[in-house]
Amino acid sequence: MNIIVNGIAIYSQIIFVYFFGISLFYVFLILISSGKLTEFIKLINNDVTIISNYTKPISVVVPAYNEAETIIDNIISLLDLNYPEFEIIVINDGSTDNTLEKTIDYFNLRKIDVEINMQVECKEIRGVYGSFVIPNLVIVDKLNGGKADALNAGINLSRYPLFCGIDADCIIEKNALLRIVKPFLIHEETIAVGGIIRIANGCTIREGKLLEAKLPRSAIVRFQIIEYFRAFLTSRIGWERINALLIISGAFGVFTKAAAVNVGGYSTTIGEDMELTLKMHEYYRKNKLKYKIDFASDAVCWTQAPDTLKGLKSQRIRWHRGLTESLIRHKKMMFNPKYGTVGMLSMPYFFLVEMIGPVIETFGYLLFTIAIITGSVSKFFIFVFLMAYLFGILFSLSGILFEEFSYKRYSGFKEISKLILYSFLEQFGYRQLTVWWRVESFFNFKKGSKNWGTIQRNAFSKKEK
Amino acid sequence: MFSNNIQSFIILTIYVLIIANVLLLFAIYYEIIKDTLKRKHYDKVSFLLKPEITGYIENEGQKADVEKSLTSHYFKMVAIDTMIDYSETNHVNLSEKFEKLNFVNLLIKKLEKETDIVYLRKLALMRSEQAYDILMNFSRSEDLDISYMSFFGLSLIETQRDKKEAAISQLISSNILRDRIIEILRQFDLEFEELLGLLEKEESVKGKVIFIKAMMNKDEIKREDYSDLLEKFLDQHREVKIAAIQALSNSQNEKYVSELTKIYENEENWQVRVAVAKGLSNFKFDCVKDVLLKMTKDSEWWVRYNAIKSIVAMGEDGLYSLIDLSLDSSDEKISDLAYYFLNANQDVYNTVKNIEV
Repeated sequence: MNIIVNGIAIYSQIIFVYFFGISLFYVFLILISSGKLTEFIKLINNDVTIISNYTKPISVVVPAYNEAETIIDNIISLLDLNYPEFEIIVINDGSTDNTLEKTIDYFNLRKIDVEINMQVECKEIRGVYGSFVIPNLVIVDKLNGGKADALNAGINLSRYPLFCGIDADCIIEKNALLRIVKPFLIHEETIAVGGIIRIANGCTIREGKLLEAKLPRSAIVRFQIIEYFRAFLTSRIGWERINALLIISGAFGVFTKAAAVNVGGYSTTIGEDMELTLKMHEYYRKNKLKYKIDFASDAVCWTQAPDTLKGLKSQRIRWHRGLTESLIRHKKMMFNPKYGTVGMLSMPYFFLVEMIGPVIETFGYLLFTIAIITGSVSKFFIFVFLMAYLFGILFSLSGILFEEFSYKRYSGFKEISKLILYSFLEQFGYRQLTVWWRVESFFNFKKGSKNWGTIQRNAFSKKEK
Repeated sequence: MFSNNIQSFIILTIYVLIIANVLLLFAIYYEIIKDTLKRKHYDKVSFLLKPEITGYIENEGQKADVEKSLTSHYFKMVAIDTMIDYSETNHVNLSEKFEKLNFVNLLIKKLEKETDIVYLRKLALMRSEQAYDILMNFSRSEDLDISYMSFFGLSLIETQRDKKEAAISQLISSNILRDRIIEILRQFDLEFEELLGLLEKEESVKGKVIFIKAMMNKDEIKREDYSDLLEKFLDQHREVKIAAIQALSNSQNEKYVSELTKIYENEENWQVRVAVAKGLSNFKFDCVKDVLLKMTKDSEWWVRYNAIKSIVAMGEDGLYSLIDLSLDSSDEKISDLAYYFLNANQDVYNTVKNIEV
């Protein structure tokens, strides 16, 4: 009995130091994000980029695998983007549904011959389809090789110096490209910029345009909305400020083609977006080249979040496997001062918090349960758990407040109150569930395929109902 | 076991967190309420002021009535927004009317106290000459948004020539992207002669390129006496040379074809050769056919690509030459490239489709 009591006491000390340390660091990230957000609020309505017609041309690359439900809406929304010069390259990565046929029929495409400038490796391209009516739209049909391989094919076919990777289930806001390209115009050394991802479930979308943002009914999606607020409005803005952003989301990010080619393009891994960002950090820091990886908090992309536990589980396992794999691949950057803030701050943070955090947390829950069963729950243990809970609420409320300061998409007393309620509820059940999936994934990260991890999509137009 | 001190510290942290969370909750609701009230108040004030402001814009005699209504700073800001909206929608310059209501000075004073992009934007859109000095100051800012907005404002002001030139000189030496400088330069609405004068005085490569590019899209480029003045820039730095090639091509004056052909034949730099290949699309096919066909055999792919693109742009004659090139060329690469362009041409595609039918 004494062993259990002592074990619990020691672990509560460890968990206290751990949670307190990482929470303080997160508070630091929130504080530096708030500074940037204040600047952003002033700029968003006075943006000079919107006035100007001169930007850098962009190749928009849309990898698609079995996306027949959403691909047409997605392409329509892309064609409607407010941007002076861009091309859209949709890569059909050997879909087994009718993604290709549907797109060819809808846009009246025909097979064309193009000379492909192979700069990064990709699987065989079976055909390229173009249109006379929409000269900036190209559909590429290739052998299945995974998302990274599809993106590489897009890089090879792109004509412009910047390319933008967009998921086929996403809707990009009309001015999003103008906003995301801005860091490239300000700092010449910018090599990558990520946009902000928001959840489209519950929103009214017609012909590829977001008409109204509303909270969905599904509790699972509401929890995810709060998670996205935390991830994008607090932490990513903070990481960007110290040039240590480790993830440019695959759903919406712009890169210089030269930088992507320098690091060999996307790697065939489950988390190809994080892997590319890490490769860029490693390459540029190792070669002592000036570079900047930025985050455009005003460039908005709407995506469909999984609305079933099965879909969510599959997504979280995939994300965690990708994270673990990438961190292990680039472990030499960890705690290495040669890699600056990436090596000394973000890599250790992602390792301690995102990668092994779930294991530490799960062990804590396990001990707590044992303590309850054996009647050895100490006050200290309860206090530590209460503190962790309150920190969790603080982070979620900060995310909601930042949303209210900036985008105000879920305006209104009722909707925000619901989000606040869900940020309290998130700590009971949802959090433990996602933590458990990540633990499972952590111990099995080498298993499983590196192929597309698709979730069940619904056509955007159906959302209106 | 942990000491009591640490336990007390955790309890204290818990209290702090509870207070912080309650404060955050208040802040969220405060923000919602504040926004709703602000929006309603703005709409109400705007609704009240709009008829009077419109009346004043259309008849200056109503100035006294408007001034009476502008009882607070907030009312003045709403009035400024309303006037800017009117000015943009109806494409009219209301600078004098802004000045008479003392709005320009009001914003200048605000900006002297604190740099604020919101006020700067309003001031820029007023187009008032009174704002010239402060906009010149802000145009030196290292913040691109502030600097760009200031130049944008300067470009809208109708002012004396020397002041315009000073602003342009500052614009040329700024860190703003070259194409964007050309875009702002167009807003200055300079005459061709004025641009020529600035080009003659300019010493930097960047400046010369910008002025030539600003001139080349003006109709006056087709006047021989003007385009002749640009010929001397063909002997200068590579970038200036490329800009001059583009400008002379835009003149569509056939007398430059031999000069451009000579440049192509003697030029080692592929970027200059590409500029010639692109530029020749502006002339009649007969004059440039030989040199363009020669270019299709260039060692540089991008030159070949642009030469074929220029041939396609020539219409029917160009397409026939391309068909010959596609069928007859012994070089497979040239033949393929020609085929690619033919295949991408809607007229050719439809014709071939009909033949097949």
